[in-house]
Amino acid sequence: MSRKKIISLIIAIVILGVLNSMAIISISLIFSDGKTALGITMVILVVLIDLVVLNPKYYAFRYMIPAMILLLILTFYPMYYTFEVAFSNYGTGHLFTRQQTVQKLLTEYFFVPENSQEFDFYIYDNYTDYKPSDNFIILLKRKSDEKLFLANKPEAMAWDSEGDISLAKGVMAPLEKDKATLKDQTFIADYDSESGNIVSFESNNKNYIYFYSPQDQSTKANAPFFYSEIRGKWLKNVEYTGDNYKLRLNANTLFTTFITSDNLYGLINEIAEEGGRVVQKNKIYNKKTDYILPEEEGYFIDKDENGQNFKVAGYIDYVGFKNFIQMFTDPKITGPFFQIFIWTFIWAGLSVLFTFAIGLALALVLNDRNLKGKKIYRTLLIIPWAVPAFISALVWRYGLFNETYGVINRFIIQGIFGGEPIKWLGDAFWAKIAVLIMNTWLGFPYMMTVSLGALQSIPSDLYEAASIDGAKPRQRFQKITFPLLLVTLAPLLVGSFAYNFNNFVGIYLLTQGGPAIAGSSTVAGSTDILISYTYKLAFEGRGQDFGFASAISILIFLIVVGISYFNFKLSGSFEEVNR
Amino acid sequence: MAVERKAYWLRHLILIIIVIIVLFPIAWLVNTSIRRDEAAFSPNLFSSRVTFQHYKNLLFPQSSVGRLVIDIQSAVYQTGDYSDKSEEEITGIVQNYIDKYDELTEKSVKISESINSELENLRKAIDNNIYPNMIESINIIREKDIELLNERISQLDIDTNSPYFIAAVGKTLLSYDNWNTDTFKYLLSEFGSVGKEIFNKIENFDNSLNKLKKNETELFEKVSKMEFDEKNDVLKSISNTPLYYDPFDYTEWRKIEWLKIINKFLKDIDDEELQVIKSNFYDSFKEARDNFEIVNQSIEELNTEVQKLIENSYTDKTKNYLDAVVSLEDINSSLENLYKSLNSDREARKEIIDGLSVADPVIAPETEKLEILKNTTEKSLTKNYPVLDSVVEPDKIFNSIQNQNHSINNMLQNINALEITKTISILSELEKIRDLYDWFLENARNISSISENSDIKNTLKILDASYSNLSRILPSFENTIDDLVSIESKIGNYLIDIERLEKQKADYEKTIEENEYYALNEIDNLSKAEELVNILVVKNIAKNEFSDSVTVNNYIKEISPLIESFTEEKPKKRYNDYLWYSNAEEAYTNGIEGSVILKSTIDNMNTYMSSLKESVYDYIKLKFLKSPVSIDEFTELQNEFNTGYQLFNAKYQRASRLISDMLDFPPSYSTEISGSLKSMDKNLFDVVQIWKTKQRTYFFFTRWLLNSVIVALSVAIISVLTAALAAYPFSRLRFSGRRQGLLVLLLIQMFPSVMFMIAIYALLQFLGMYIPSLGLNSLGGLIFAYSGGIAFNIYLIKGYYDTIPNSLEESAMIDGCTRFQAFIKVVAPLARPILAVVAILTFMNIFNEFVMARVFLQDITKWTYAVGLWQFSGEFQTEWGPFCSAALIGAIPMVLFFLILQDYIVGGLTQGSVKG
Repeated sequence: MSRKKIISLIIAIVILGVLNSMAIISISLIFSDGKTALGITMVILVVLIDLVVLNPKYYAFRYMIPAMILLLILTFYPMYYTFEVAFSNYGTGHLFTRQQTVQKLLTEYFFVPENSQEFDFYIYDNYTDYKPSDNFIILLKRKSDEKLFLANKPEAMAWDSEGDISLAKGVMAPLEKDKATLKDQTFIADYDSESGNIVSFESNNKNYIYFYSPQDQSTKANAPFFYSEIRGKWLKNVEYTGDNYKLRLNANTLFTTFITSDNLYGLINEIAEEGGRVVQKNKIYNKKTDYILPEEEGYFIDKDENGQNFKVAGYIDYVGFKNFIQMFTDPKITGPFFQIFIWTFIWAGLSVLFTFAIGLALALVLNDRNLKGKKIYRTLLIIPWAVPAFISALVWRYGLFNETYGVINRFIIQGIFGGEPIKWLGDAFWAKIAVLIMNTWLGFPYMMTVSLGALQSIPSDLYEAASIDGAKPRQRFQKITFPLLLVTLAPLLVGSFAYNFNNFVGIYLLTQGGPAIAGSSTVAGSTDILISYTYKLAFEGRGQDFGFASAISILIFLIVVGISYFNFKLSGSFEEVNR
Repeated sequence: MAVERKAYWLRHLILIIIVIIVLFPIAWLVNTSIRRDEAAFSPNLFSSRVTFQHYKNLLFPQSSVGRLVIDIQSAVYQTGDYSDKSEEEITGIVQNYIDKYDELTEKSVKISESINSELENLRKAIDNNIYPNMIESINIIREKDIELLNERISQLDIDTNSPYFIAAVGKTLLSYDNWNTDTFKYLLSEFGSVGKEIFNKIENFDNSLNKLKKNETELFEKVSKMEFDEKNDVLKSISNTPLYYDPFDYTEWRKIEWLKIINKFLKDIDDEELQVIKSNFYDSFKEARDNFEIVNQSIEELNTEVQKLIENSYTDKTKNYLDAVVSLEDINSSLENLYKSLNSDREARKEIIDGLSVADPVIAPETEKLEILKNTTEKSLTKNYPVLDSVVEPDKIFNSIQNQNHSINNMLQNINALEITKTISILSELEKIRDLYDWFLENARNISSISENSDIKNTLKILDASYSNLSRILPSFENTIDDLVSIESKIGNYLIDIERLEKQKADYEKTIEENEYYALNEIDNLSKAEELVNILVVKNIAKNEFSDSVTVNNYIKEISPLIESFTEEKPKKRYNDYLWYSNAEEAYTNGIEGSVILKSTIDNMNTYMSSLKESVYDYIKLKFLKSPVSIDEFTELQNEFNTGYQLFNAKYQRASRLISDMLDFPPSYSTEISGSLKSMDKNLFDVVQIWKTKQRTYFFFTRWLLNSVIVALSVAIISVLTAALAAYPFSRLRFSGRRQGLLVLLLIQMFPSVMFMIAIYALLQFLGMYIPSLGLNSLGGLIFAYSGGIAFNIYLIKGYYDTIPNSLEESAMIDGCTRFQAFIKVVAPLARPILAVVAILTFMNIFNEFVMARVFLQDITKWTYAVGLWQFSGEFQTEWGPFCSAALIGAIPMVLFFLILQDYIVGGLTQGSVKG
């Protein structure tokens, strides 16, 4: 071994050592953040790199180190992650790990402790246009000593699946010298000189007038507004904090008073036997009833006063094949899912059919040596393909298919034919027509180009022989051109089918999958294809369902692999790999 | 040969048609991006009024006066983008902005001057050329119109003596406020004897008015010839006379104080002729006033007359029908309100009932307890049946229970009347409690008599506990029930009202249905008669050739609805010759007014600006010395801008709109000013562009383009380098795992990458905690995320390496190169073409990618072009100009790349790839 080589080897080892130590630090950081899969990926990566660098046997792989880093982290890890998620219930209601959910349970649930303080309350409302609004503040009176507090209109922190507020938080402060300051806003009380009652509060030129109290019969007339707009919307799940109190509406007085409340859940360790081993598990228990919460299907389950079980909170949990099974069994999902599934095939099939038919027809017209300006026609006709698809889609959506202003409705449907404007994007049928029109426009130049190429590759002596045999042009097309074309183009058609099968931009940018399918429990729309449905399930709408979306994307993967396998068999294009 | 030729022509024709259809969206896109009007609201598909302003706005975002007013203020106050700038920077920026402001206002003054001179040209053209031509042309149309009207009259076939006709005349009469017009008089002449009478009265009035005018002139002349001190006052009073014979306002006629003034000065002048003329003048004024009153009175009588006529022209059936239609409308609107209130009260009721269920855990256990208690007490009672001793008083707990039971009973009675009760389960619990309490109260004395018994003692204790438990919740329960009852009764009332109204509605609907056929026929007759009257009115206006524009305007206003109703032709088109003229007039006035406002706005703003210029740098210094001052000029400037801009913009926009109409629909006569109109149109557009407050997004557009180029270029380079390296062993070396490796590369690109985003999102979030430039919301992070898509590139490059002969490297290695050196020095340079293609394809793909970018980038300054355009398309939904230009700016380079590389792309695709 020459000296030079030894030096370079030493340098390589030093660099490797530095890189390895950096990798080890980052891996430990990843594991401490709870990203086990990513951590394992990194470990594999580091081991692979070390192996490849140190062992000359794997010389070929040294060229691939940069590619390996990128592919492992940005492709294999996400793929693995998708598989993992597909077998979990990750999604709305199960957004957090068990650890995080436990934390929530410990801090966000309440009950009324024994030595509680009760408060009467009085609503003061800021009228707009002489009508009560839902802009209000609350005067609280501690029952034990009649001390007064003021509380603001709470802020909504969380919403349930129906869009109602499930948690609202507000602050309260004692009323001192007729003043109270809530979140930098000072409220000044105004007393009635005769009765000595507070008639209104003033703050920032806004006046809050005494509106309602369940303790005051004279405000009964305002009760309906209070129930439907204030209590029903804002106070049901409110939590006021301030002055060492944590207040919620008191159920024991039918919500006619506020009462101090305390955290409902606590944590204990339970020693259990699992698979013959003794393990320690942290469990949640209800402080009020001392009931240890069992866990089922990724939910913590508690008992209410009547002994009924109910789900308290969910966490991400392994669910096995549930996501795949519910695709085919859950009636609320299966209907729309099958509709989308079938439409995906129809969409891909029709897209290929239309683009191929038009592309081939144009190719036949253009495939003529004597036709002048062939090149110009070809270049002009290829433009729709050259324009980035997402730009075309936006132009079609806003300029052409818009129901009120769109060019097609205004100048073609109404202007030329005098018909009623068509709801291109609002009606299920017409939306499908619209996406197909646009996709045909986008896709036929590709078909035209490849058909032209294929036509030129057909040997001309075949035609000469045919014309000697007296074949008519039609027969020539049927017996020679078309069969030979199909042989060359079949793999491309299948490829195009596979492409359109996943043509997210073609659907999503034009219709966003809409209009929605009625009666579906998910975000399914009538023009959605599997891939856009997956996207919407995961990233849009109120109820995200990453688990189900991942399951569908695995299904898509299997279908596309199937199609491609068929395609490779058809074209034999993988033969070269064996060379 | 000839046949072949013909076929080619046909082929070309078909191809051209197809090209036109295919390129229509592109042509539309290009035209819309450069048109000056608002394409979304324009009736024209294409427009020849072009401007590159939208491109200028996007690529070289020029500030505007409106923008500067805001920006100077934010710079001085150091808010937003200016918050972390140093004093020198702020001073520089403000200086720059103020200069820019001066430049823009000067420019707009210049443009508005040239607008004014063009407007004066227009004025001249109108007076010398357009107006006479218009009158001539309209007179030709008038003759055609009269023919058409006559034809229609014969079609209508209405007897002018029929009651419908007379009623229609009356109805039309009432629609005119002004009775001193030709049309009104004409209608009166058609309105039988009553009409004649009024007609005569109006004539009388006209005569006396004429006399008054004559006397007025006479008096004026007479007085002006004389000499006395107050002459000028008197003359002024006399010449003011016309102000007081306003034929529409009776109150003016009564203000005759001015007569007294005249009298005061004239009565002592000893001149007989003057006195005669004066008294004639007085008399004629009074006469005219009296006649005016007479006419007014008879017009009022006419009202009742006509009402009667219209009523009489309908039979009862029609009247019922019409009444029913009106009432039905009322009922429908009341019903709508009722349903709204009903729904809101039902919401409130639901909330109350939901709230009641929280009492369940308090009440249910008590029922259970009391039931058990009853059983045990029953047993105790039977065991040692008490001997009733009248002395024994019931325990005092029973008093309390009695009270409580009483209130429960009241409550139940209150609520049991309601239908809704059945759905509230808790009430049945309360009923149980009541029954149990009843039992205990019945046996109160018996129980009390054996209260020494320990069981019974216990019973009383439990009863006491129950009582106090319940009394904690019952009062509020009672209150809530009260609320429920009152809401329920409101709901009940609503329902009763609704039922009543629905019934009435049905009745009216029946009436309408029964009488519809007959009534509609009658109504139709009347409306036909009205049409005839309208035609006659129009014919009356057009009885002489037109000679002034007021009559023409009146005529066209009256005839337009008629023409539209019985011919296909749009009146706008038919009378374009006049409309063009009137547009020109209106454009002229609007333009001149706009310029005046613009001028004064600039003047006012400049005063504030100059005082601002003097002090602003001191303000900035103070601000940096931590003693901020608020500057009034900003508010003033902003106010002045808001009001001024709004006013002159409205005028200019209107003028611009009119001019564009004039350009689009030229009249049949020649005008010779279209060149000047075009330049005026452009100038108007330019001024508004200089002034309007431009959206903030405009100023980010170049940033987005730059971001996209940075990201796409980086990814292209990274991806080509790694792929070129990784492809080499697959092509040249044989190693175990090669086949599997290639298969895996093919397989992984089939996996739908949409779901990758969840993992990569979390990954970037994690990375961002340690290396912010690779985290979420950073271009570095996005570049990293995009770099994963190299699998297919490896495959593509490997294919090209395969075509490079092996012998070249081998000879290099014999010469002493290592394999790696051979790759770098021999293979890579030879593969340059494919590397370039892969780089450009990657660049294009990344430039166009928006799904990931939209999720990963939140800051508006970090967006890529694709995300920005997506946002743009939403923001400018109907402002197609900016959107289309923005789209084309991104599309054109891509199209060019594509067309240049099309052979490579097709080649690449036929190997199995697809365009993304």
